[in-house]
Amino acid sequence: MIQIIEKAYTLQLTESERELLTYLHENIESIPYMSAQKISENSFVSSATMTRFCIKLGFSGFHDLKYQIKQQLLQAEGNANKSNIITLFNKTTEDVDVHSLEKILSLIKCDSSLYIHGSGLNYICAKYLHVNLTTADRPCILIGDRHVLYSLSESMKEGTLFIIFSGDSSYDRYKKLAEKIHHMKGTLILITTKKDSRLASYCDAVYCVKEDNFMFHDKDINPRIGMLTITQIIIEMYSSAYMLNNK
Amino acid sequence: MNDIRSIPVDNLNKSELKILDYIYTHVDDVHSMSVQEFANTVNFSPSSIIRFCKKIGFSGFAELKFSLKAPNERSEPPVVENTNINLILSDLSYDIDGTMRVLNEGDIAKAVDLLTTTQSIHLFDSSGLTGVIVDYVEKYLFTIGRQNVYKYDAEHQLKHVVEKLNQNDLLLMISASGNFGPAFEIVKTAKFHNVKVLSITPFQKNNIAALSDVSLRFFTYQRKNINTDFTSRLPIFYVVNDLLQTYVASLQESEVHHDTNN
Repeated sequence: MIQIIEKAYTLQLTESERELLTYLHENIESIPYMSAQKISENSFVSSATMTRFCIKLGFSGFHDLKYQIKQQLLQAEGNANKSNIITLFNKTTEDVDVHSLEKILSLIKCDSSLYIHGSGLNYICAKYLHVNLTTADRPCILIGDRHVLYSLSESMKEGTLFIIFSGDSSYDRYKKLAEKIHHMKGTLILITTKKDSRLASYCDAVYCVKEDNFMFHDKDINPRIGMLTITQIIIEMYSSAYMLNNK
Repeated sequence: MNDIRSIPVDNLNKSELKILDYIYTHVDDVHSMSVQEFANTVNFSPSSIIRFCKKIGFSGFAELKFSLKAPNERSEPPVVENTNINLILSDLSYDIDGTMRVLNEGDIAKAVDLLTTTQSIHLFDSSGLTGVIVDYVEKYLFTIGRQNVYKYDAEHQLKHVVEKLNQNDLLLMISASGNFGPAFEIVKTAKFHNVKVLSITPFQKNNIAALSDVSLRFFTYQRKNINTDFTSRLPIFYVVNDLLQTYVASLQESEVHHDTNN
């Protein structure tokens, strides 16, 4: 029960005000989205009673009350959300594949040209890794367009390292590039949300990130928090080795 | 170095005692486990295990395992193989926990309200690591279909735009320090024109938070490489994700109710 309703029950109310309170309590989730008229109709209470009720509770009117109810509902949800963040972090880090990470790290530490790529929200992860590695004095090049990356791969030196962040539908998009890198004797690291990616056979290291999707308008949205967390871990692993070497 | 069998148990809580008990009764098994495997076995997170090890006087899980060997078996120093990653996870977890503590209840709700009730959202793409977060916010908003999201990378350009905005518009400012000059100038201009300001700033008192309508705070350990900023932005990503998922949830709720009312 939210605060407002709790407080209302302690007040001296007339019979019709009580009826209104009961209606509000039973339909609390819908109230922020209902007009005063609708509530008045549904609860069989006059709009005058509604206004009196709001004022008794200390609000200037129904609009004010509705707003506060909405805030308190969101807050109640928010408290659940707070522990959601910690749960999300723990979920992301509970089965960290240390072996794959160490493999990835050993490849990044090699003295080779490094291209980092991702598109859409994956580009954010790629950019985040790029900025951090650059700051840690590991030169690298960020490429957002896979066609540009493909064209660069055609004239690459042997041993050039590629890190690709990809989502689910990556095989068709990156098959040609992966084959080219393999053919040119480059090194390919894939960080993906796709389990058992078919691209894995072309890769020297693969990290499969746990998904943390949600649905909206029938769309499957992946906010990439898992991928960003793994990227941060890679950055920390690189920088702790880097800091050690520079002491 | 501590002997695992002589650890004072007075200030251990129930769960910690359970972990210790498991170790005492499964010495041989524990010896061959990684901290991951051990954590799974006793149903705690790896970072909790590391904290526990430190609490009882070991530098990490590796040292604890080493002390399980009988004295005459200890010929080599403990191997630090996974200590690195567990320290990392522990530090990251510390930032996230800290952020949860300084993130005000109700501020997410107020922030969602700003996102819902304002017409246009304006972002300042400052360079560097913070710019990556702004990029993330923009792409995330586009992905969920939010209209009228504008991003600018030039201070004077955004200032020029802000001067024409009003209380129906929102300036969403992200600042790792909360005091970044150009960002603060833009926020001042926005408030002068009654534009709503939602900021994400560090937990310490800062200028931008002071002027904002709502400021979501985060906690992170500052780190620099000579004169370049190197601080982890991970907690801010989590705050942004939480904000936008809550926003999406409130949009879905209002759609459901809109449908039932019609």
